[in-house]
Amino acid sequence: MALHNEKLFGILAIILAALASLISLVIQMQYLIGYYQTSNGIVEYFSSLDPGFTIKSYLDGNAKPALITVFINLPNGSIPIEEKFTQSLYIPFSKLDPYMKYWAEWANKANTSLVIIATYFNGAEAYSSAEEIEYSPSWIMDNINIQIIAKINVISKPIPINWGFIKQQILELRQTLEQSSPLANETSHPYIVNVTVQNRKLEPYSDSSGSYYPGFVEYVIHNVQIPIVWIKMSNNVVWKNSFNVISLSAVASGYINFYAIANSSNYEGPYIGVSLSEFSGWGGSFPVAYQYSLKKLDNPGYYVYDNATIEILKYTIWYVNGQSEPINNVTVFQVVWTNPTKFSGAAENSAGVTHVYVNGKLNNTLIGNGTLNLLINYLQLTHEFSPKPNGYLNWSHYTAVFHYYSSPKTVVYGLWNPIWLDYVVTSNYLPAEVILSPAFPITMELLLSLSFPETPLWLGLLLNIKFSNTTFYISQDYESLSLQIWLGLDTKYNNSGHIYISYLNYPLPLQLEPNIGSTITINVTALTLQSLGFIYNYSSYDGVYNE
Amino acid sequence: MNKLSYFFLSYVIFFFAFNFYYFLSYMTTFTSLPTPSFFLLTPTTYHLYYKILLIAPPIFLFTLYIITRKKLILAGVMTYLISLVAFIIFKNLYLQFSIDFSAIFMMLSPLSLFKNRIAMTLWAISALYLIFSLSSPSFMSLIMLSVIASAIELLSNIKQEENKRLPPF
Repeated sequence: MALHNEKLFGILAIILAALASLISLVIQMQYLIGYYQTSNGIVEYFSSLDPGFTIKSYLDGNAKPALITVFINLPNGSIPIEEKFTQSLYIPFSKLDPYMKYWAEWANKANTSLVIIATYFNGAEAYSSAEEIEYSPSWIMDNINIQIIAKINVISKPIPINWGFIKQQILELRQTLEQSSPLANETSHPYIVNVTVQNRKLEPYSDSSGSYYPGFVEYVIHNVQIPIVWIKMSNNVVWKNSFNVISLSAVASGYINFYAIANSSNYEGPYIGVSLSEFSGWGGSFPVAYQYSLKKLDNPGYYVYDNATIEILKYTIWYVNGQSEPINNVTVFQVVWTNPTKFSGAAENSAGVTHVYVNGKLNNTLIGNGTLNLLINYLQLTHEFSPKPNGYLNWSHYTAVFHYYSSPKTVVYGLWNPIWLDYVVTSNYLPAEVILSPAFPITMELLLSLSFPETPLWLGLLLNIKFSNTTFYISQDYESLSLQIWLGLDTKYNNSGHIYISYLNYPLPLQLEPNIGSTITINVTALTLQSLGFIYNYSSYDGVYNE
Repeated sequence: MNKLSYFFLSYVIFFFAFNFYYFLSYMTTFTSLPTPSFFLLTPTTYHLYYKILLIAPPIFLFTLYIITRKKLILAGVMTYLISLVAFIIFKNLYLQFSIDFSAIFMMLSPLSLFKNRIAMTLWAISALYLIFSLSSPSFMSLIMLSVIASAIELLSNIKQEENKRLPPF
């Protein structure tokens, strides 16, 4: 009997060994290519024979079915493509194929993303989280054997809204706008912001505790000028130094790995992934723009920008149990498009105006006709992100000396006729600490929201997000980019004066893990923030954009 | 069953259990099946798979040394572990090769214990699992030949004991 059992052991061992070997072979067929972590989950890329997206939802770390809604990002916004109550949702690449015509031209130059929102219901409460799943359109078009696994975790706590604080902020914003009026004379070159807004309802979901109606409002802001490099001068420099001509210009050449990092009102943190990444730039050097006679402008500024399409997706759940009321929402801020081959320059004027068109109709007029003005005037970013003194330039009777506080590797200066201060910035000579990224979409929302006084919930949530440190970062790796910003000041021969120079500084918030293989690729090594900016003042270097 | 047979049995059971866990993890992660968080394949669990394949063989072979007291096995295990620790500390490419070659030495060291020729051959081939994995991690699967070899050797041992116990007529 004992012998018989032992023989059985042997046979069993053979079977187990064979099974283990077979399993091992199966496992080896799917290997990890790359991944990135978000505030509330992880996105993994596997080489697999089953190309597609698999989304897994968790509530406080435990696997539970959720209402998973999937949006596909397109250059002009996003479209819902799937909604299902499940713990695990599989979307084959073939399902996305019809939408790839919009990306055909950029398939190998840009990576786009899906936005997923997972929602759990608990009676009259609901909790949501959002995540971006980045992919290359070429994977879909060529049906490449990649399977993307996205884990999304939701915390079972409602996002708090501080209504008292919100009302105060609304009041302050309105006062800022009213104090800025009447509008200045300079209205001939308005900065035009076009916004399209649409409301959509999604499929309702019911369970024993009631009926839930999901829906979303999509705000698409077109042709947003996202500054890459900028230079700004306060009026007192212009008045007290008596210039004949002030010129600002920039020359840019090279390439940038552009990563648009999306944010949301997740409970666990704002970083939800990369909505768009691309390798952008130019083969050769070219002057982006050249502006003279800026002395005629108030607080003249000049910047080189990416033209972007930004989307704000506000997803809301309505609960119907006798009466209907919104019980939850999650807002996603994301860049859905920038042209990787096109950069431009713009001069701006704090006395100019910005026209905000919503669905083709002029809804709002703001002071300032450029992105920098909007950021500085309405969000006071120079105060929020402490600027660093860069140095100051003294000149008197044909001589000029530049004193610097931080140590830029290269500063070229001299006195000619006219005086030129050249601050040369290339990828190797960037200051060690990088510069503020504009919280642009939030600014836009704050401003636009004034056009919709009847929707306080929207404004309220957004304000709450901002002060929960949900800042929108647009990050770039200045891989091989050379940027030169020029400030030319034409003054009188025997004149004297000084200018303080400061740049804005903000620490890096995060780093992504290297992801995806080299052939299909994004190699995120380090993220640097997007906007390199200098402020010129007369009386101090504190960066405050004063008169 | 003698101690050696128990060793082979535990070797087979360990690798089966280990692979079966990962099989469930892969199955649930890559399909629409519900996936408990302890089964979800994450980069940590993914990399752990390969780390276990690096660590498990020397542990088993050290156990084998305790059972058999064969110094060659101890030498193989020690060479491998020293290379591994040196690589972890210094991260040197040459030490990576050193691990791969010492793995061959370590895996070949118990060959004299095998009585079944097929098992011996399979075990010997499995010794190449690390050096081949330099070209592709999927060659780590070669170590599974040692598992099959263990099962065959186990069966062979049992049969031999059976033959010994049977009367000669």
